[in-house]
Amino acid sequence: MPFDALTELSDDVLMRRQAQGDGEAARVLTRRHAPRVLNLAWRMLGDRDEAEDVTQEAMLRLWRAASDWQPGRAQASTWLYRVASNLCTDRLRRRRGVALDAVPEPVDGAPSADQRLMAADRAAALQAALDGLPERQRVAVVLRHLEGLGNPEIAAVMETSVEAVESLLARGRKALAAKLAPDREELGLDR
Amino acid sequence: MTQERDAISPREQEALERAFAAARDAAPPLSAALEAAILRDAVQAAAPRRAVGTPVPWWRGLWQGLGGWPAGAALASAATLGIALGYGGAKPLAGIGDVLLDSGQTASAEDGLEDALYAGYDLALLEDEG
Repeated sequence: MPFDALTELSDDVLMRRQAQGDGEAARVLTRRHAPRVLNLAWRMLGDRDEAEDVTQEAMLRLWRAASDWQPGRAQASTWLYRVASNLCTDRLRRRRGVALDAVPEPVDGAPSADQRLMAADRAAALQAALDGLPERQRVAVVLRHLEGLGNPEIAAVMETSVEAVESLLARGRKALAAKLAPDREELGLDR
Repeated sequence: MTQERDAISPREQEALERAFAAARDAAPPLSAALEAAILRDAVQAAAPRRAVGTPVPWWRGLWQGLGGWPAGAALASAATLGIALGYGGAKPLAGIGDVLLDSGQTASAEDGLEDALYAGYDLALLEDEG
């Protein structure tokens, strides 16, 4: 079946085809889900290389699960977000045991401010603020405000209640607002 | 209660929304190298499953362990001969016995054995008589 036709198929059908060795089904699933996993991992870790490692590992686990995949039981996107957020959490916990100077610099520390556009500055400032959030708040905020998931889906990803997600989001937003407050004027966030 | 305590002002909310919008636009694209690596993993992950997907039955493994078709043919031949001997009595072997007896080899052997057994007695008798 050609690639364009496969893009119309559901994840469940594509997973079955992938289990049978259909390379085009794997390509569709990759293009459908890997960018979102990469974005989540990047926002969680603040490091492009590590985010790519996590994305590859999460997708590999999806391929390995393909033969036992039960249609209708779980959404591939939810499943992948859960795997990726757990992988990121593991990496963040390992980092705590690493010397501070070995941790990659935050994204906003690399290029000088006058070389970047305002939008890039804003994105970098947000990333730096995200890096300071507790892990679960960070997952909830990224999934809600950057990936556009609804609270019930976030609850499924994080294996918790919707109420707990709402609480995580409220605390996360408050912490982000506080972290961005000193630079709001400079970043043009008030207009 | 928690949400009320953690609520932010509309101004802060607007500022956050602008920052979120900028971050959404700055999402990293999936590189060709990463896509290729993911697809390589997909091929490798599917290949073993296809091989394992058609397991060899236990009896086929046992059959091959015992020698397969050559061993089976030899066993069938031996079994057929055994059944023929069982139903046909000793007739086939009787013919073989006749051949051996007619050749005189059996008699010669018996004679030789008798000579060897009694040779010592002859010597003893001669010495006593002497």
